[in-house]
Amino acid sequence: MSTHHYIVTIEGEKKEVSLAPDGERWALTLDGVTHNIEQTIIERDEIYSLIIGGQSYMVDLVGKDWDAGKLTVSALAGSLEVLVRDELEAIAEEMSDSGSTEGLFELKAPMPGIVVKSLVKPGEKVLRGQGLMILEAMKMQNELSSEMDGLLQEILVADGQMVETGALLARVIQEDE
Amino acid sequence: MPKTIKKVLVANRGEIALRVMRALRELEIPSVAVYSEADREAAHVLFANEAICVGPAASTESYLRIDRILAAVKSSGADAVHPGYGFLSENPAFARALRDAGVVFIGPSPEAMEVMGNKLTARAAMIEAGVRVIPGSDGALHDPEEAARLAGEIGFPVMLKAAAGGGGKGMRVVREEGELAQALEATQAEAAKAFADSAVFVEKYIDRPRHVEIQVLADRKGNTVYLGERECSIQRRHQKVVEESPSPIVSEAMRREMGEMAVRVAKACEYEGAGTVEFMVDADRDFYFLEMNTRLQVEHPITELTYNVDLVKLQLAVASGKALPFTQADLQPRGWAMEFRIYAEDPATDFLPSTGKIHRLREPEGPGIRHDSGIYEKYDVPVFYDPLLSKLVVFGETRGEVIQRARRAFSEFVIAGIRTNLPFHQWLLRQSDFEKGDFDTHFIDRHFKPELLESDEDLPFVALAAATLAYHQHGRRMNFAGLQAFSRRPSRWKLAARREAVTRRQN
Repeated sequence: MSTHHYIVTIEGEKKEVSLAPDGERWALTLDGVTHNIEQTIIERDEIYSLIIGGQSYMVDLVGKDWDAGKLTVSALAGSLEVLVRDELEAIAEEMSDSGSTEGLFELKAPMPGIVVKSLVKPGEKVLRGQGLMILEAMKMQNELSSEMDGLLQEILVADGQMVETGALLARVIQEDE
Repeated sequence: MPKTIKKVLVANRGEIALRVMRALRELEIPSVAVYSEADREAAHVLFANEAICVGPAASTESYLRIDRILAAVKSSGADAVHPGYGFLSENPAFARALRDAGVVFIGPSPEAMEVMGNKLTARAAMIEAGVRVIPGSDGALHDPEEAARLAGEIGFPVMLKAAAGGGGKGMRVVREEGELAQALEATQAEAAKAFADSAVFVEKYIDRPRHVEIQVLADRKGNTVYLGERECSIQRRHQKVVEESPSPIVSEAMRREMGEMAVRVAKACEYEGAGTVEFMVDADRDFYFLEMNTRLQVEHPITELTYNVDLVKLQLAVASGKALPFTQADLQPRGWAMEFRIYAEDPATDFLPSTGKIHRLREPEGPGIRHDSGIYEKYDVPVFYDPLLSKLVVFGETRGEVIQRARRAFSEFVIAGIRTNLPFHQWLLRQSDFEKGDFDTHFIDRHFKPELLESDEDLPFVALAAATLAYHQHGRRMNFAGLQAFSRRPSRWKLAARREAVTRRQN
């Protein structure tokens, strides 16, 4: 069965979480450890019973902004706010820092990662949606593409280079008519 | 001659209005709620048999308006009014207006309220009745010689207090005679500057004060009894947070002594109904009269549990002219009770008040639990009134059992949507000094810090797992729901468009 990847922020820490159905249960992997979870939905999006490794927890979802993935969970006589994004959403949101302004598109790293390779050479024509570069992060390769038609003006990173979130990777400019 | 009360208007809101109405319903007496425009959905309005709007949200325009409450009494045909606590409960003009209108006020006479309503007249009346008050000068000090003489009589340490002062300003502790003259001069100068009145008096300084109060009950036939003490020292800025009965420091002999003094206080003002005499207790367990509250107290349930009485029903009986159904000798306490006030205040942010909708309410249940509440799930807590949401009252055989039971009760208590002081109570119940009963009115100021609030160590993982699963399932449902559902969620469209900019490649 398919495994889903999520980026979960809790108490200020970003964690990679993968989730896969495991028969009637769920296998949730965090920090290299897989937990077996039996979940019963008492009221959808509201009240759950979780049995994790034999430990029983009653959980209330008391705050929810599904679009932002911001959920407030109440359990064990306390509560915590949790931010959940699926991996693609997380990348897409980081990318919203990139953007095109008036004939210029700056490709920025949506997350920390390693540049696998550039797909286009400086001076070549690119189309909107065309892949410019492959960035590996969280053991997955992500193809980052241009948001506008134009010419690849320059590439600012080398293959194999580590980049941080927001690092400028490449610039696309409008082609002169 | 006993008069039957047929309908009662409850001139209050929140948990106390419900408390009173519950007693009325048990007696099959119809209840009338009054409410402000902001309180149409309040629990007391939903519970009452009848309900009348008495004005806008601000209590000065509604719950405190004697004329409007009187009009509601008349239009409803109520023949008695229960004032609860706060609002008009200790207002002699209100009690007098009702008496003039031929309506029973469930409380003492306006004359008794007037005596007790003013600290100076109350002190004078109590001294006359032979009640022990905090030793001090009865008026302003004239010179250092007088101050030295009085301080010597009282015994050091003493407190110099500006007559016009308040809120902790214009007060100075003097621990020995050598410091006195200079301290007096400084306090007088400070008082003159801060209050434009240099009058300063001296009284005994009580180092580690505890606040212990006695419940009294008096009928019109001259019977006055006491129903033991309530320990109310766990306070924050003079606001009580946790109370218990009995007090860990009160012996049987001390209870009798305090109780008899409280009865003397009540008799001195010809008190009628339920009242509370507050005492300050020092480290040597000497106690001094502070004031009398001429109404039902917030923390009355702990007395109800330890004395097995219903104080609201007893108030009604006394107000209808009946004699008390017991004598002092009949009143023997049993077990232990604690009340935890649940406030809409966030202990993590210096007890900032919090308002809004209660999304989830799961109340503790099981042995020894009583929850007197003015809230319900989906109720929107308004900004206009007291932050007291409810009171969790826990009963057990011993103090130790009550603490265990209270910890258990807080483990099941969920109030979500607004911030409350539930985490504070969980903290308090783990403090060894609290467990030992070793505290005074400065306990919270001295020991509590927001950093000390703890949650269960499993919480982060459980929250992470629950949120990830919920989000995963919600997302899948959204996908299945198809385009129609998406079209109502523009931000999802935006995300979908952004996603197109990233294409996943499998390794």
